[in-house]
Amino acid sequence: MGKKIVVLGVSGSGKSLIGKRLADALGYPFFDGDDYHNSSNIEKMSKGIPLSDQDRFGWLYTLNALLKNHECAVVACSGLKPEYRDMLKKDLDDVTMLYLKGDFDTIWQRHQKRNGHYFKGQDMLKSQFATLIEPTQSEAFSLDISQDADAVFQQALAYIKQ
Amino acid sequence: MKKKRPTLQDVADQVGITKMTVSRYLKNPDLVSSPLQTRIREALDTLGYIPNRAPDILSNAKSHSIGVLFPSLTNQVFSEVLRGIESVFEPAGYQTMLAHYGYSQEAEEARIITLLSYNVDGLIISESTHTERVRKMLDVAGIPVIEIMDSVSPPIEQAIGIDNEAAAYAMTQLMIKKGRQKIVYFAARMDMRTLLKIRGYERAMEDHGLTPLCLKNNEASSFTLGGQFLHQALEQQPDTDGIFCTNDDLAIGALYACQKAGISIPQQIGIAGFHGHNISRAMVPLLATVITPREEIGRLAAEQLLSRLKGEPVSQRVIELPFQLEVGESL
Repeated sequence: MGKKIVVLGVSGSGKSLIGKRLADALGYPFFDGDDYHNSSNIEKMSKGIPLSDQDRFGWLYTLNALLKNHECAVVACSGLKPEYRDMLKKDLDDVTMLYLKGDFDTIWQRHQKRNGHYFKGQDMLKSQFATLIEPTQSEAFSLDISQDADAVFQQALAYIKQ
Repeated sequence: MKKKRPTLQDVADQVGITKMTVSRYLKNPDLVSSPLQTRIREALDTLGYIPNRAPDILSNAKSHSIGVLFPSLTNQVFSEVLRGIESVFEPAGYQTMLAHYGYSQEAEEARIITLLSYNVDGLIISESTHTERVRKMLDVAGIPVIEIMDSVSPPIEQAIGIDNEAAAYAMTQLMIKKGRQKIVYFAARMDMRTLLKIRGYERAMEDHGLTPLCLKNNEASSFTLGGQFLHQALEQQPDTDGIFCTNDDLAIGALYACQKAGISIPQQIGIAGFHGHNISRAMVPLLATVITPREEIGRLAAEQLLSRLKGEPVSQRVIELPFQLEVGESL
């Protein structure tokens, strides 16, 4: 059974929701990747400026440290590119990755229902999709988010417990 | 008088082999047969043989040691940074040479001269401002240098740290959101990082139309200094309703002094610290604090230094790590 879990997906795919529910069900601490950006990243995101790989370095390093420092943990993080996912699991061989897979239209609809998030506008979501290189089957277990949240959660939990 | 140390020849004589064989064993025990390994190890133990690194240093111009400079050793922050540093250097076969300089630029200069004279392969420094001579020497020494703790001041080569001003701004803003208006800042040592934090605090107060009040002291931080500051704050501003300290030690001292004086926390005064040491997670009430990534700063600095020792270029001049706000129970 997976003890270090990373929930991947673009912003609005439901990482925090599914991640938190998994953590509660398993009794693990939950860490939302969005809470671990440094101040210059937060400022950039609030202005709608996309982050560079350099901007992401300290952030991914911190999330990797969280996974190292906790025996059990669920971390939600977009992990858009293979390099980012490699950094998340650097020096760890027991990380289970789940990928919340959805198309642009499904996720954009969800975005419009959200408030109070640093994420601004359709352009940012477009840039995320442009950056996204979806994880392969060997990297992460894919979950189809066109199902309702309960079904996604149940499927994720069953996979982790197997 | 210094005793004569046992030589390689003494060990060789004891086992009845040549000096070369002992030397091979010391480089890598697997270069000799396993029964011989046992006999050599026993002889080394009996004689108390101390390896001499000087010839190795002279022939390779590599000391396999890294100089690490901290402003203070009584400050717990740096013991955690050191844990991060050693978690990388130990397995990589590097020895850390530790020195501290009591927050003085002149002392920092003297320590850097000493470390460079021992031919350290790299340096990790906890300060971002240095004397002119230090800058010149570091330039001439040609070894990788990393400055830690501050991601805002321009680095000599590479800096790894946090944005202290943004962190202080964020905590002050949180205190204001919790309804505090008369917040006093307690500052000690007055080093660059403290000055940056004061700037963040003052900016947040002014952005919210409030008047900052900062109490300053050049002494080292301590629990008792936190208590002294509390009494000073109440004298200068009797209706003080918030205290933000440059570190957890001052905050804990102020909190205990409040409890002793019958001031209830957080009802009458809200208190916040900086760094998030273990005790802040165990005390009553739990301390509000800015959690800084001390161990991660140390680990990352060591990893970056190692990669540069392998000849890699500086991948990123400044790496800013995130801080976290811990609300605790004291706000």
